[in-house]
Amino acid sequence: MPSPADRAIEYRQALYTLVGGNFGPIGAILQGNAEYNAADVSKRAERVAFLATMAEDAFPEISRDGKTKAKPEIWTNKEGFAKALKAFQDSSANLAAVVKQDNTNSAAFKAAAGKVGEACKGCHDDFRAK
Amino acid sequence: MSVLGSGMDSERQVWDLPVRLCHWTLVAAVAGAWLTHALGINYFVYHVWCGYAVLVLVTFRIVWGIVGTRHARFWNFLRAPRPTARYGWDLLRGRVTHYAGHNPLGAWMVLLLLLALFAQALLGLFGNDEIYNLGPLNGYVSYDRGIELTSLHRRLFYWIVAAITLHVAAILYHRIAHKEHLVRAMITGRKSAAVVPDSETIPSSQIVAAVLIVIALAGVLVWVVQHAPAAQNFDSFN
Repeated sequence: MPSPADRAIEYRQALYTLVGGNFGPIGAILQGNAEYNAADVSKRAERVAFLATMAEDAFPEISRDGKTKAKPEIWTNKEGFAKALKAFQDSSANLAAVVKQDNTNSAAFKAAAGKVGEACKGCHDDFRAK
Repeated sequence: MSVLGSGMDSERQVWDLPVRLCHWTLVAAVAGAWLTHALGINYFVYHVWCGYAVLVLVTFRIVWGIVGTRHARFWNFLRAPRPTARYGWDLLRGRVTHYAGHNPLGAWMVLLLLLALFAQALLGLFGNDEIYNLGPLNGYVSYDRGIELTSLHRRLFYWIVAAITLHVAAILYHRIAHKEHLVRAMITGRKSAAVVPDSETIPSSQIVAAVLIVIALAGVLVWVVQHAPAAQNFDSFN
């Protein structure tokens, strides 16, 4: 039987696997490695925004110790982490809104998607072990 | 007017134009690679361009270290550990021997920096930032290997910063303690005739050969990048 800590970590990693799996194709468009597919982008953008709302529940105290790259700072610097998480939620909600408004490979789309990427990086830099 | 001539009579040519251009463009490329990383993940495409530049310049310099002009060649400036240690020991005691080309310690730093930058640029090609940026050759390796190589790329950076710091500090030391203008020599290519015997001056920069080598190396890089397999999608199991 996996321990409660293991299960909590597994839950979080599953969530971020989904985030990566859905944001990856958007990144491929930004990099110029994939064509813009309107139906696919709107699906991905909505999923990432929704998954971001789940992220706030993915870091229970119990998941602090175990096979995880989550840094202890998540729980010791709660304010900083809440800010990083909010940046992810706000930027991904904004991306979904931008795509809903104008589902094309526009400058607004690129800027909004780039902001999500920056939010990912900001949090990885501070709260994820390398 | 020749590229090399027309200098003051008291100075003689030691660094050919390809060595000097390579050195300073490499400085720019490394600074650019750092800057495009610091600016954030949306500057990644420029980071990759800087990496290509580093790769071509460093491989050029290694080839030039075999076929280039006198003081560009590795076997004309790399010295065995014992003479290198003796040079370092003398330096500590305030006695400096002047060299037309690199001094023995500087020579090893040249090799170290070239190898480290080569490794760094190579590692970067396989990178994956786990957000959405992939190095152009990431498709050659598994997901996990890509992450490992990225981790090495990240850590090697700090060693390179340390090596560059030492390199610059040594040049400042030679400037202050021994009045050697090494930076100026790397710009003009010339050193005082007092440290360059007539027999050690170089007659030509071999520019045509250098340009052909750079074109060939860039061509190989373009070919390799264009023929790289597509990287695994983040949800390629779909």
